[in-house]
Amino acid sequence: MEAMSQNDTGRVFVITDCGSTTTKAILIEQIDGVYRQTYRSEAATTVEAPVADVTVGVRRALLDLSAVSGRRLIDESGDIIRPVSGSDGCDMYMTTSSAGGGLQMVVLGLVKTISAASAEKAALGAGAIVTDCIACDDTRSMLEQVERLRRQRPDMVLLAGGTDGGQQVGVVELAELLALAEPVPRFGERYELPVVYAGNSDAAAAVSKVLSHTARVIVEKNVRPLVETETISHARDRIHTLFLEHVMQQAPGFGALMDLCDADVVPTPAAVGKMLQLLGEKKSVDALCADIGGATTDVFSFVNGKFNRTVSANLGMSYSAAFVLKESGIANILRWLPKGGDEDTLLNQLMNKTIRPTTIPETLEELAVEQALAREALRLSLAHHATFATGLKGTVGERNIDGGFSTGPKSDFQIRDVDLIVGSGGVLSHAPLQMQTVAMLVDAFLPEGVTAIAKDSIFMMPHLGILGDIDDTAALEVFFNDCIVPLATCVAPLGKAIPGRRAFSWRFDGADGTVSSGTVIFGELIHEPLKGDGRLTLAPQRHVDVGFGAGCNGTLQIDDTLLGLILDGRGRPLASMGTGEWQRIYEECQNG
Amino acid sequence: MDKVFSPATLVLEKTRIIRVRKLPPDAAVQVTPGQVARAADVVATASVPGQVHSVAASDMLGVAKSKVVDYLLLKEGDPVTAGQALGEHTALLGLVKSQVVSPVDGIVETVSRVSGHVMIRENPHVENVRAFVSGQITGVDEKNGVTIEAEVSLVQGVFGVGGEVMGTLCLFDDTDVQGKIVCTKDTLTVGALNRFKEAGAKGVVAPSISGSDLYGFCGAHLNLAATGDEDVGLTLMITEGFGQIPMARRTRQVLLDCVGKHISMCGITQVRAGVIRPELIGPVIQREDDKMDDDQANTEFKIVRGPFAGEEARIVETLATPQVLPSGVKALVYRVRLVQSGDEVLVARANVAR
Repeated sequence: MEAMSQNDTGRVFVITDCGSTTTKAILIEQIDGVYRQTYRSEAATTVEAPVADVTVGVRRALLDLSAVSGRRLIDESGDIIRPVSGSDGCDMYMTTSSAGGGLQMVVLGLVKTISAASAEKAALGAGAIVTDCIACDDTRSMLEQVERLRRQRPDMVLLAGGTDGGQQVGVVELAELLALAEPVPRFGERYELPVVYAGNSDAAAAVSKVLSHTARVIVEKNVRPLVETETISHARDRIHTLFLEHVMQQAPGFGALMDLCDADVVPTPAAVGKMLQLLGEKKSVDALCADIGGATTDVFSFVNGKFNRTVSANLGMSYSAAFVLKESGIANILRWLPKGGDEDTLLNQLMNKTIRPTTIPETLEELAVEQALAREALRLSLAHHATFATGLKGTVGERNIDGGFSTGPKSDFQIRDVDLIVGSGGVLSHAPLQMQTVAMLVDAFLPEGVTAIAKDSIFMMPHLGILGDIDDTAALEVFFNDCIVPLATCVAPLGKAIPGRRAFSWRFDGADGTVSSGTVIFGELIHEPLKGDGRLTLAPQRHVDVGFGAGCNGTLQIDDTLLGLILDGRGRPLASMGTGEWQRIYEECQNG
Repeated sequence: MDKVFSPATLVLEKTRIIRVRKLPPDAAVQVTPGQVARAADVVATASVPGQVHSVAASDMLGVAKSKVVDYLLLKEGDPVTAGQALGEHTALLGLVKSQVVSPVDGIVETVSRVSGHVMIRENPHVENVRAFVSGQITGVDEKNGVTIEAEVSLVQGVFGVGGEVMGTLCLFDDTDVQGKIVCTKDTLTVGALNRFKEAGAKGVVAPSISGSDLYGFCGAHLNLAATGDEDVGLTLMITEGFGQIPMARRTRQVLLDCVGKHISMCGITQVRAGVIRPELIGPVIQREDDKMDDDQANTEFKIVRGPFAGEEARIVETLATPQVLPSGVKALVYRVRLVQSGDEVLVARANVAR
């Protein structure tokens, strides 16, 4: 498996993403010297019985891709045709996977906010689904923890705790807990459960001894060698290697799938992370991506050179609808409904959605409830993300120059630093109006300053993340040309609104010579359906910051979008929900 | 007609079911293939290991963790009773004496020289696996389970709470519901549920319940997407959904036919992948008008969402191309005739259930 030279041109890539239910294939080739995603297809994922071989679904998707593209990709013996021969075959085939539940891990650490948090970060960074995080200081009793561990069927365990050279007792106790629970791996007892130990290096021998009858212990560098230092990359890379070498080999057909591929199989979420990282490093775009599904919402960010990923396991649009309601509270969902509603009806509607997850909204009222639910699920997921993306906890706080004390670690993630928000998932991708997608993302994430809003309708980012490892130019070209749908540019002043006061004035000088301008009063939500690229000049009032500093003017280049500008003067936090304004904007969009 | 029914729940007067009764590790199977078992019969027994308790012995004795074993009165594998001394430490010429005792009956499982903890595992207990369904044993696999095949009537619900129960099905106005499973055609309330529970009912079947009443009965922590482990005093099965939804005629008819009969019911619900719906299993129902019922079963469906939710309808036409619904969502639809009013309306295929 050798990556081709980046200087080669005209290569043809076939990439699949084996999801839990669907295997999505895309064809990437050069058109007029630019890489484009030209065709796509999908087939049911075949990891479950009766087929129980993931390559069957992959081949079906590739056969379908052959049919729609006219490019023969599979030969008579079922092999992928490589390299390109005339108008047939491809140069490389790669895949990402979350089929069969992806990589499921349990994480153990001594202190929930220190070693357990770092271990969880390492596991999530490797693309795992963390099914439980057990720490000595969580609120559960030891009995409950053992019982919980027994019920899990993880693919792998990450055990951390203690600083190098420090006390060994705590982390050995955790190992004893794990030994007592004897968790059975997901793929059965024949498979020896890998336990990555990334705690106090002095305790490695004792931990290995305690777990010698329970698991295969792999010792890796401590994720917190010092309280002030976090080194998660070694553990993260080891998890990925073990995933490929052991876990994937146990899943039905994955051994054969790996043989089919020209590059390592990457867990789907890890591939999304790679794409965001590429975007940040090569294009200096700080991006936030949210994928909202039926059960979970994944949030990825690459901001100020730091990548973070969180999975909000119980925030989703169907299976988790009732949980979103519980977390957000009924009032927070009702506030987004243009006509309001009563609590009992809303509760029943969302509970029915939970038990009948495949139903769809038939009336405008039902659609409004789903989109309100989406706003809350996204809002809560972002809050979870911001909490997770903090500096190291357990370190000595920095004292400010004014003599105040730091109240805790600051989040690495600030929404004002985000240049691009990408939404994905059915409720965002298939909203009847594109503007509804913008409304959900803006209301949920409350972007500040100037932020591009886009959607990834078919969730192509995993495919491009893995392609970026081979050919970053191709990945970026496809990302901007075919992956994201640029919906709008949102301009929102930072901080609270002062109702009735002028917030900022704006002027757009289109590349085609057109000029538009206007003024935004605090509380207003305005849609300007501008077309084409151009330069946007913003002139805020004194003390008002639109991203250039309080009272500072600025000009920046903005790209063409489908819908134009959203000028959001509602303030942060929102002084009003803007449901009436959004309705007016929807009507304008429908009429125009 | 090309029909797609995503959220299907079965209601059948007569069907053949196969149930595999999963066995705990090291279970002793009590039946043989070909044998006929009744629902309450034990098909396997197993000794289930007890829970583990950790005793911080070195801390309690005031000795070094690495030396804890020197102060213990028992060694790994020894049986122990609750309150029995595990270890003792005497200091200052006997003036200070500390003792650590076992919190439970069991055995000393491990002693750690690193953490100084003693792990006590409770004594094992016997777990009986019952047939749950009256039928014939068709397979015994000590690793996978005991397979039972049976001809039964079957009603699946959309949502349930609690595990397996068996008993006689009775109507809600029965004066004695002790040990029985109660069936009501009306929307349940938390008050009614509490009354049935206090009267000793093992289970309740109803068409619907409001979300607030369900949380009122089970507690707000209930996870709707995966149920079955709840300890709420009875097993509940909801056949239609949340809110005020009447019971479908066919469901009501099958349940009425099962009244007075011994039935099995399970509330386990899993909405995520590998869907599990709650179910009620009774004896086969024989009726003279079976043919008519089958015809009705094949053409009548429930609408589960939208302005006609809760209504029964017959499919008139399957439209081949997606239509724009009033919500603006584009979807494949059926043209249906509502049973009650006779009106013809369009309904999203995804919102129709058998």
